[in-house]
Amino acid sequence: MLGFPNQCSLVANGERYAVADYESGVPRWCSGCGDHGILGAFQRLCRDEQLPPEKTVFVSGIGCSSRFPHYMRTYGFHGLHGRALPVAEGIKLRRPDLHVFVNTGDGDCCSIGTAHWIHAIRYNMDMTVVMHDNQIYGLTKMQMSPTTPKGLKSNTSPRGAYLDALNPLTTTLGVSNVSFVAQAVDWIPSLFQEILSQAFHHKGFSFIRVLQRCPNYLPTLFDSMMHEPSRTLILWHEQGLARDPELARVYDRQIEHDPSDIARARELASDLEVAPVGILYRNEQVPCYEDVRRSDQLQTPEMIEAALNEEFDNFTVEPVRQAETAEGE
Amino acid sequence: MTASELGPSGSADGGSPLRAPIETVEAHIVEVISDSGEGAQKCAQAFATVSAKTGNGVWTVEIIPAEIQPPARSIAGASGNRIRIGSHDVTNGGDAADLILAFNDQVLLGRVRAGELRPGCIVLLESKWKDDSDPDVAKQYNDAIEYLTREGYRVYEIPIEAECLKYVANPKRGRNMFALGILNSVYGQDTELSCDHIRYTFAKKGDDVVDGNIELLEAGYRWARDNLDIRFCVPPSSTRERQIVVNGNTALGLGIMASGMEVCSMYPITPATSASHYLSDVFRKAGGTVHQAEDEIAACCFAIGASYAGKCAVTITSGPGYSLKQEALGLAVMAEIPLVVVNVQRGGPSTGQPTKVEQGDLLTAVFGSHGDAPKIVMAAASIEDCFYAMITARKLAELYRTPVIVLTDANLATAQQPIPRPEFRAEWAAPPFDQSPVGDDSAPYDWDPKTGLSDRFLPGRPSGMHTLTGLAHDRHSRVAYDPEINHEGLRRRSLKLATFQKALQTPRVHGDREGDLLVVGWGSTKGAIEEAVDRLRSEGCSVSSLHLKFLQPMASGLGEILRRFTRVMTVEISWCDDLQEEMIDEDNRRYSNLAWLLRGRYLVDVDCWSEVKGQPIKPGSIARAVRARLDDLHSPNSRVG
Amino acid sequence: MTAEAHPALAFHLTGTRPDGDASDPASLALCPALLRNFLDLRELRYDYPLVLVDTEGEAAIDSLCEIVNRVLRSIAPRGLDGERVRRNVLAVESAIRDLVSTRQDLLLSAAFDEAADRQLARPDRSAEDRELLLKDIVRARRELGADGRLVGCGAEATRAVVEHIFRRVERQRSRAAFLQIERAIHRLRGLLRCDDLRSRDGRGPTALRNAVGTSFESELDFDKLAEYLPSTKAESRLPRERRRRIESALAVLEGQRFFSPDGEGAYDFECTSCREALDRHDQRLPAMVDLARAIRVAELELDNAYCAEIHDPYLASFDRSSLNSQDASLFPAYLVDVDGDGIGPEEKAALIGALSSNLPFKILVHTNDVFREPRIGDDGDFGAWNLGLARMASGLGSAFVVQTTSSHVYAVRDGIAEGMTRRGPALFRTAAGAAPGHSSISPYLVSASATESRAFPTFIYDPAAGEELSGHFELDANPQPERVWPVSELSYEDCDRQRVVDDLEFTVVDYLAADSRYARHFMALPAGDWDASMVPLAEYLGGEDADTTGRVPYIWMVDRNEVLQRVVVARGLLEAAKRCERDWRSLQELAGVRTDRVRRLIEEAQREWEKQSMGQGEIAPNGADESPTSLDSAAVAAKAAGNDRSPDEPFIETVRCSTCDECVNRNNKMFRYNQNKQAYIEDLNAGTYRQMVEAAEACKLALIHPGKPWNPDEPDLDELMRRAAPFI
Repeated sequence: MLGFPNQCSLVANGERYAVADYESGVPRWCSGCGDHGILGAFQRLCRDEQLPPEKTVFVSGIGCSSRFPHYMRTYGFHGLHGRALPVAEGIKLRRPDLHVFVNTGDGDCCSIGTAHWIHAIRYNMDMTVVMHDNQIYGLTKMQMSPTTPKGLKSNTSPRGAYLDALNPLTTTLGVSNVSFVAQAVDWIPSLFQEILSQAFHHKGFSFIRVLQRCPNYLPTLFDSMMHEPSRTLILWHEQGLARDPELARVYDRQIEHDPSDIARARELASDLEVAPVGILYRNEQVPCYEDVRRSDQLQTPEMIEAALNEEFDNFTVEPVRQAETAEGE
Repeated sequence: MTASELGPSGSADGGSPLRAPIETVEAHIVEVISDSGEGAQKCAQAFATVSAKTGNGVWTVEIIPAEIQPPARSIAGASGNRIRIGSHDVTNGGDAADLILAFNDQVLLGRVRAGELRPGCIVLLESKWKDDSDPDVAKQYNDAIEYLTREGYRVYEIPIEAECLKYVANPKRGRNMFALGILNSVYGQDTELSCDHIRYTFAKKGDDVVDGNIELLEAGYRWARDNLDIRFCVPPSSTRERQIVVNGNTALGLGIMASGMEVCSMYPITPATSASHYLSDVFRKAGGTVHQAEDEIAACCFAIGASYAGKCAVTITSGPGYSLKQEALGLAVMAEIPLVVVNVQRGGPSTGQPTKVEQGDLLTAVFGSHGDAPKIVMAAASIEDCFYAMITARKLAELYRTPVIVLTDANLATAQQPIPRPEFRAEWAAPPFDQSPVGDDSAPYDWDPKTGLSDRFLPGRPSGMHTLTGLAHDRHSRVAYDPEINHEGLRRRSLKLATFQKALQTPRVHGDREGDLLVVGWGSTKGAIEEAVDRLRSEGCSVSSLHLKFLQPMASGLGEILRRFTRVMTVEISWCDDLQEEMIDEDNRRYSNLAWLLRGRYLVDVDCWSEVKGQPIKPGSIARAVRARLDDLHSPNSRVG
Repeated sequence: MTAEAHPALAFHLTGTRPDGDASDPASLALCPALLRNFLDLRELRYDYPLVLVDTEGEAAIDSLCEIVNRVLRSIAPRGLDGERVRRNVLAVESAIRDLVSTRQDLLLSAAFDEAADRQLARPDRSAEDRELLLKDIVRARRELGADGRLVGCGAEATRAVVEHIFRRVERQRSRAAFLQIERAIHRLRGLLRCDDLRSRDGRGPTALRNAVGTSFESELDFDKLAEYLPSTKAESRLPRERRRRIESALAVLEGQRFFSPDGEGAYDFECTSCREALDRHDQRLPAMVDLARAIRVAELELDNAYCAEIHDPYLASFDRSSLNSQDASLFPAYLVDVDGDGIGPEEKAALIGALSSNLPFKILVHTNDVFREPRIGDDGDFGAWNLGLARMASGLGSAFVVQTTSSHVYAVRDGIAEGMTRRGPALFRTAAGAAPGHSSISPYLVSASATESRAFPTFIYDPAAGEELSGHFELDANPQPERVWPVSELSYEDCDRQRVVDDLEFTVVDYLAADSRYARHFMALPAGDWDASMVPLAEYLGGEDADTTGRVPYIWMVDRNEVLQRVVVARGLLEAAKRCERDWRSLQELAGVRTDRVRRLIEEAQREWEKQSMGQGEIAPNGADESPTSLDSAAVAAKAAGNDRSPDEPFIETVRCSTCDECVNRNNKMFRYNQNKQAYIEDLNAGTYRQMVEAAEACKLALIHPGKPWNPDEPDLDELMRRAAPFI
């Protein structure tokens, strides 16, 4: 404020926030669920960035992943199924000072919430959205979701899911004004942490699809990916994730991918055999809707009064003293 | 000979002196109709503004064809306005028109068939069709003239186009100004007022258009002065403070600005959208933003997000949109998020009649959204109410942490009426949202044991961290797993409504405090009901009326009022079965919205009558229906009410 | 050796010339050879006149020449009529230059129109030519762009440019600060209003009635409405002294007179001496301290971060010493316009004091003269103080310094703007080149040659530009900065009509030769007396080791009828020339300019290094990646674990743990989360080997390596060891 960089500010609360300061209650996810890892990653991000808990809001819809806000000791908004994004947009428009995060599941985002997902990308408001993609409806006990692989058996597709899965990455990359798309896997925490950090620092709609294990209903879904490193393609770039020689010992397939190359990003995203992990696309030039709409006028009663009177004047009818009415010659 | 009679700016060319005497009338209903796009509405609106400036009460009603561009000269294609001017405040569109100016005979027949013209109504008809090149058209015209004369209408054939051709090459453009000149002359209005209006309205079109229009206006004035033997005077009302002439939707927009709300989140839907059109133009000046969302649900959720994190927000919609927003409204009730929801009702159900008026959404507003979701429901009864309702709704929403539903309808939305110019008060504007730290032992839902009220924990308030949820929750907003907590939540939220109910005043009865019959209404029917009741009282009937602005909760003392009358009935534009029908009896009769509420609440056998034809109910129709109930009351074998 | 035999040597040594001999350059109206082609400025295009632009968002200073180039780029097409347009517009430009040479109050737009009329009115134009000219003028006029005041080259212009940049920067700073304070006021008022609304009458019937729409007042009973509102808890109200603190801070913020929406604060920040500036600063200090204190209170209160124990004492003792550099950058800067020619000792002290403070004093020291011969009683060599002021200021380390002659003001306009914008003190040392009336050539040329001849180099010193000192200096505005004296071509005809092109250095002596006050140090020599002992001045100076015995330095000058003359320079003046050369060399070194001497040294060092390194043989290039092969999961994990850990010791690859709760749920004593919420083995004794093996099997990423059992008497260890094998 007032152009004072905060290291000069005299804010007394010297003590730093630790990860524990962002924990709230015992997560009621099954043990082994990928959501725990994502929760841990967010808590580490908050600690690294020293985000004031009262200035941080986690918005979610309905589903396993959407219980997320209850386990973060920040402000949370556990809203309606598929409707997390418009709520987050409403918050962000009036409160650019708040750090807004959205946790949504594959059903929540790509099924009932599709309209809001597509338009949220186009608005490009400054928020970080993590789509926990366990490719199944967990909370409502195992129904297929739009990202469920074809042929996978579920309570509503006992003979195997009928259609090819929807690809959230190519869909997102296809919407105008897209500005940040990344994919992570919950079993490589170091990469996810780095992606999350870059998403947080990106000014605009940062969309991260996280392949997230659901041990209860699809225990083996990602086994082949986890144990055949060749099915994971790590994208590094000096503008994206840094090269990690340590990780290269395990996940050896690493290529350089320039995040500004959207065509290449779309190509990589459409490969169903090998999952690209890293920053697929980033463009810092896309305008944010809240900046486009913001007016830096300070709303005061005087300002409202002036605006109102100016409008009233357009509609005002001054009573014309009719000198004499028209009767009589 | 007064200056104004000499015609505009004294340029009279010494035409023949006026023949007819001036007839003074209390009120007059004028209609101007044409095919759509011929400027009948512009002429009518100008006439309404000039009448208001002359000091008359005014009420305009839009006459809109269903389609955007109906075929020319089609009976159902009438487009224009009805303007009712009077010596005192005019609160509704009245019964049948006293004078009609029509640009072609077919649209005129449309109005005759709809029963919109008074017997003996003066008809000013464009006569160019008489010898039209198309023999069928000429025949239609002449048949119409003959039919109208036979029916007793006072028909005047006016060569509007022929006269206009003396001044402009393309009469289609300026014809409506010539018509305006005629009306100014017939009603003795100063044409200078019309010239000012023309200069303001056509300013953007450049001087030549303005001058052309003024020239035609004066030509029309002179022609009527020299050729028509009809002249009326509607004396202006006495006290005149400064007024503004606006329609209901514009009043909504102005009210939102005055309320200090900063976000109006909407999705285009007839007839609500014109409020957002106006607001999008001016809201920025008051520090606000109009957000058009991708759909109705997003519009409501966006407003909920904005309200949750800052000042109360508003979302405007109509029937279909209101149905789509039900789940979101339930969340706002459960999580106690302040929200103003405006429902500009239209003909229902389903797509119904988008441009037509109906009051069919009251029960949805009161009981809508699954589970027990109590909300405050208000209804604007006048154009002025549309302005002040926004301010009131915002304050109540924030005080009681609840959604407030404001019902208006298509009639109020498009009707124009001069109302006293509001004087802004700083307290109207929403205060800045509170960012002070939260007390240690307080909770996000610190329900007051007696009233269920509590203070909000807005994001940004230190140590106020909690997770808002649509799940049943305790006072700390923690998800409730034991049955007690759910019960407590329902109880607290209901207590809030009871607490607000305690602060409602018993509404004033229009007429005697007791009598034979009480007519109860809500919303835009107030003017028509009270005019009908006044007529009947002047005929000696013992009838009074009562109009409700708060529908949930309803004020105390209503029960006593109802019991002071022998019979009670509601008049609403929402369907109710007619007991006269063979199949209908007391066991299966479905009542109008308010009738259900009154019967359920006060155990009074409230009767109801309605006309659901997409038009505002006329005072004459109400008077007839009420008189029938009164006669029925006094006849010996009346059914026990 | 008598004076007659070697008149040149005699004059050079003694400075006396045979009596009655008017051989000095002034009386002979000689002009330095290299300046000959620039005498008539009317034919030339150069930066001046400059345009002081006011419109927001446009560059503060523009040059007529640049503007015309831009206009021509947009309206002059290729080919013939493009040529015509160019010719016409350039004619208008030079007409404008004439106008500006006599009038200082012209606006660019007005000057353009007047000049255009003059061109149109010229009798020698044909009607058709005039009509085309009019068309070009109209098109050019439309493209002119931002308007502003025109200033010609000279002392007044330099001051006007520096003041104009100062005012533009200060207006912007003031507006920005005002907006920030306005926002703080708005939010503080909001804080108080929120509190009022929680007060008893904030929730009383009257307040509620006023807050509701008029046409609904009759529907509500405001006493009942107020009665049932929950009474706000005492502690949710603003504590009394917090409210008092906010109100007093608000009063100070509202009452401040430093900033305003149009950027013109109530105080005057322009003065004519450092002493006056320091005094004014001291007078305003209390108001500055109050405002700075109020800003701190506002920031803390709005962040809900004010805690009395820490901040009360701090703010109580808050005084002038507490102001830090952020405050300095917030408050307006001072422009001190010091007349360089009349600096007294007391003002010198104040000047140094101001430059070494961290206060935002923007000090302009302008002198007409660059050089003046020392006079007895003069405190020190005037030249040294004047020339050395800028370099001395740069030595202070905190001041931003710009030194420039009037002619080069446009070239360093960005440097000036940066100096104004930058926090802290700045010195703008400008010189016109010479007092008026002493030189036959135009003021612009005098000023330009002062920089050209290194008499008054143009440079920028930015204390914050990078770590090394050399990065702080910038000499680009000087011609050929890597040379001692800049070299230009002189083409002339020798006695037998042959055209000769020579490279000629332009030294400080050439510059002084154009100034009549130093004429006595020069003696023109007819060609007949030229002899071998005469040597060009640059060569004569040629660095310390040049052998100068018996040599006579001369410079080339040109007389009225274009005849080149050799002019001998008296020894007295060479002292000043040597010092000027020495100053310029040190400036080169400070700026890290790779002078040829430095280049020589570097080459020697390089040769030395190569010789030395040949002896030690190849240094191994940095490590290449080994390429791992693909393995199955358990092996992958082992490979990843690295081989520095003994297999029988149980451990977890904590850094790869994805916090999935599997192991921690099994035994939260044995397995714990570290402060990064990643699992590690806390206490072996708190669990059994069976649990360890089960955990290893459950961990999807096989991060748990059970190692060998630690408690021999546990049941069925060998079966567990078998199951543990793949995870060792």
